[in-house]
Amino acid sequence: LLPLKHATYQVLLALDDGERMHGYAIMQAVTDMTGGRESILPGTLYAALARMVDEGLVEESWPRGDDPSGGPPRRYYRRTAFGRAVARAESERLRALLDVARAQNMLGHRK
Amino acid sequence: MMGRRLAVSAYRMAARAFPGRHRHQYQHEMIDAFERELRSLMARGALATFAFVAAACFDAIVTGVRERRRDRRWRLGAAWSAVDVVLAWRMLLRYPGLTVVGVCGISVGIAIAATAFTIVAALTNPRLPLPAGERVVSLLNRDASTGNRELRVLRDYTWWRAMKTVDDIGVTRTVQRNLITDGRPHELVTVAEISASAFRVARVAPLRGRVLIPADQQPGAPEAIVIGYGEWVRRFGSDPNIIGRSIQLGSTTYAIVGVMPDGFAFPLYHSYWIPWRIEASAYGPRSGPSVSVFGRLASGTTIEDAQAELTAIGQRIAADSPDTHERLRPQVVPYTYAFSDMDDPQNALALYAIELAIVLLLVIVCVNVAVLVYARIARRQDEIAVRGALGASRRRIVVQLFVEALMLAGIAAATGVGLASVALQQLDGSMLIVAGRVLPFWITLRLSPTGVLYVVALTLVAAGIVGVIPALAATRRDVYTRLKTLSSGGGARMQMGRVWTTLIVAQVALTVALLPTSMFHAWAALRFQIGDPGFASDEMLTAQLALDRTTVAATAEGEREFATQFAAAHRELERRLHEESTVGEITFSMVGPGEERAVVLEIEGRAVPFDGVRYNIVEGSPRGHLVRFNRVAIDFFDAFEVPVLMGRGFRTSDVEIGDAITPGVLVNRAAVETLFAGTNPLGARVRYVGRSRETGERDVVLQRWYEIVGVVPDFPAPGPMEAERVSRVYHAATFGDVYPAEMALRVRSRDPVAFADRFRAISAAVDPNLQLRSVETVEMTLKREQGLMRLVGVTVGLVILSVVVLSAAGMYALMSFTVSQRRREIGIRAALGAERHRILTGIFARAITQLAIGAGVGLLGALVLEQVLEGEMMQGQDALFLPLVILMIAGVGLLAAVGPARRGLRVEPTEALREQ
Repeated sequence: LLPLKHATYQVLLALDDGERMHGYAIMQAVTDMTGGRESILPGTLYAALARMVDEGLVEESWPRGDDPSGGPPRRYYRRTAFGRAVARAESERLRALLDVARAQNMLGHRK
Repeated sequence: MMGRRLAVSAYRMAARAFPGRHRHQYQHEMIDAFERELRSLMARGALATFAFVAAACFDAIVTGVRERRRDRRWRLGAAWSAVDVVLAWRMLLRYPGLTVVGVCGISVGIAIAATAFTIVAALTNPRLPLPAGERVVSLLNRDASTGNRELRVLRDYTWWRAMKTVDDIGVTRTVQRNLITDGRPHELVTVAEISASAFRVARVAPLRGRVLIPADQQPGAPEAIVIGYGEWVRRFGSDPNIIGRSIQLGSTTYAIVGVMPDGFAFPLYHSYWIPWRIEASAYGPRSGPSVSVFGRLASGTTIEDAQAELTAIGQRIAADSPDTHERLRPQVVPYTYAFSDMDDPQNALALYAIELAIVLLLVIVCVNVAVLVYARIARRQDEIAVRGALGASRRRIVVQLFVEALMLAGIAAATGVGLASVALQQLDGSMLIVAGRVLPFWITLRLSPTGVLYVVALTLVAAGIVGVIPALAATRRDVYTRLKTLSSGGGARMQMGRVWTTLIVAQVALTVALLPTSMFHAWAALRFQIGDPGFASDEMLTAQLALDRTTVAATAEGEREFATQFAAAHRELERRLHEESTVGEITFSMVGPGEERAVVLEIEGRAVPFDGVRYNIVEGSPRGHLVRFNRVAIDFFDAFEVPVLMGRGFRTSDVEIGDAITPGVLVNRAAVETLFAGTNPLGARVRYVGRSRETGERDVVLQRWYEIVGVVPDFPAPGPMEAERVSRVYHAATFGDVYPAEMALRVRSRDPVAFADRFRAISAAVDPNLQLRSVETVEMTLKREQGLMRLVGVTVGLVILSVVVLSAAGMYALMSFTVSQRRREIGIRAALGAERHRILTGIFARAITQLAIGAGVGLLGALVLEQVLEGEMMQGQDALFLPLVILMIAGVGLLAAVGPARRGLRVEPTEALREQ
């Protein structure tokens, strides 16, 4: 599976442990967690979600009651243990690269 | 508001790029997410909104297209799941009847197609197995007016040698020589008399010693010979000291200078090479012996360059010698084309047409199997309906049925390839017999990798027809309708559509129409024998007598000298043979009995038939009677113990000498009945007005009158199946009149073949250059022909068998379908206490009527065909074969009905009613 597609990684990070989110919430979470520097568009998101369900990275479920936010019923997604492991492996992989970048003084210092 | 709706519509449109499956699941959520984001962005201004809409639409289109592609890849991958293969295997075992019929039919079709492909490929696209073999060319002359090839090109060769675009131009001809080795019977071998440049053209190094060199061609040089690998192993026991050993061909002794490696047989199928010594300039244009000219394209030139240069040379020659060369067009062709006539696109086209016809035959076979598969699918409707309801798409079901068909076709293809290999082997062997020599070294009748690819393609086509077409037809209705029929438990389910029914009926008609003819031919081929040829065929030893021609120049005077020499040798040979105690009568003829040549005959004072002779007439008129003629020794009929029925036998005065007298000829009984309507032909005068291609220019004299002086029986006696009676005319000949002569001698011993060696020894003693070709008894010749005919018979028989089996399968499918469609009705009838036979007639009345109509139409077709072709198809045997075929089809139809009928009668009334 590695390296993960960018959208897949974004979605895996946006889905915090145990939390169930619908598609639009994931879009917002991606924007929020990157401070508005990154976003994900609905086409890419749902293509990624469909694939991630097939691969067992996320679980799909329907809400029990009515959607509190109104509108038509929407699927909810939750990160699986496997999804978490894969995200972790991808992070490790990226960290190795980041370490190299850092050693070459490419990152500068965090403010 | 308006803008938002527009944006959503645009996004909805863009989302259509996603595959249906994805849209079905996620589209409304995608649009919902898009709309929510849009709403939150609209507050931030038009630019941000517009940027988002554009980006989102673009993203939807790009991702959608990507998903579609991924989907397709997935589908292709998933189409071949292991489950399909296992399922397919189970289906093959579960319906063994269908499997056997399908495999038999398709395998015969594929075997014939693969065999035809191999032969056509070998003929149309032969690859010369020499280094850079595609650059080896033949130079030849073609007569523009007749299209025939002019083989007397020795003079042209001297002019062509100046060409710059073709290197190492050489010349060759094939001669037969007596190989004389001590302590062994003399043997006739085929020798290539060839320019030394041939070995440079071929670019093959010798295994031992050297190849021929230009010095060997010089007059007075020591006689050198190069031999082939096979001869070295077989005749000389792979002697390592072979170089320098001597070998006698005819009256000349040669020193072996080299051995060529295994597989080398240039120019055609040769294994002895002697240097070319004939002085080309001694011959005038368009005269001399028949030869082949070859060369290798110079580096950097193309065949077109060579053709341009040769055409220019040809035009110069035509200007210098208009009498002989005005209509000759020299050509440069790929080497092998000179021996196959494939440079004529029409010939190649004809071969491809045959190939296409054979593929069509396979398609017909497959359509038949498809009918059966369709009938089987009908019995699996429930399974298919349930699978559809569980989410299997139509494509998924079709793919599964395709895999089933592919497995069937695959087994058939494997069987077919096996059959084709056997057939090709047989054919290779029998061609050797027919041609009396081996095939050119570049033709190998073996299934090539391309051939295997062709079979794979055919297998896919077969599987497509057998699997996909019925599957598409069966899954046409949607899941809901299919489920409905499932719940109603039968009734109006799948239907044996009009198309399928018509197909089956048409096929029965076609079978009945064509079967009698093919059956007749197969039977005739299998039974082929000249039952009693009218003489003791096992006692008569025959051989073709010829004389090595190299010793005499090919001029008119030389020709006469040669004839005298041959006559003397022939006469001497007969004299010495008479001294042998076991030899009885000895005689000769131009060609053997039954091999007579075709000519067009006119009878004095009788009207010429209106129609021209439909035969290969190359000279003179086709208006007249087609007869066959032979020149025979005066004692010919006595030797074969054939009596003269009317008039008298031959006398010395009947031999054609000078123009002063009218020579007497004999005719056979068939000629009396056909040409003279049974009236007395004695004294009638006849002459030849046309000559066929097989009759040599020198063999027949056109326009000369002959008088019929006697009548002999049909000789050899016609075979039991030979309805066509051949009119024959016999002329008297003496020694030297015919060349080569067909000798026949009666050997009074238990094994006449054992005399063959003594025969050769006597002949070699008379003259080492005297050649005896194919020494064998008449019985052996007949048996060989019989073997070939048997092969033809078996092939035709196999095809007939598959046609009959397929016809039966079609009928079976129709009956079987009828029963499953009318299950309920049968149940009700049985419940109401109807008698069994009434139920049966009730069920099958319609199907049987349809089949009877088919058979009737076919019968009519057969009769019309027989009438139109004037009895050519069955040669008057229709009274025997038509009823036979009807009986056979009726039998097959009844057999096909047994299974379905039993199934019909087993229907339990309660069960059938409950299903309702």
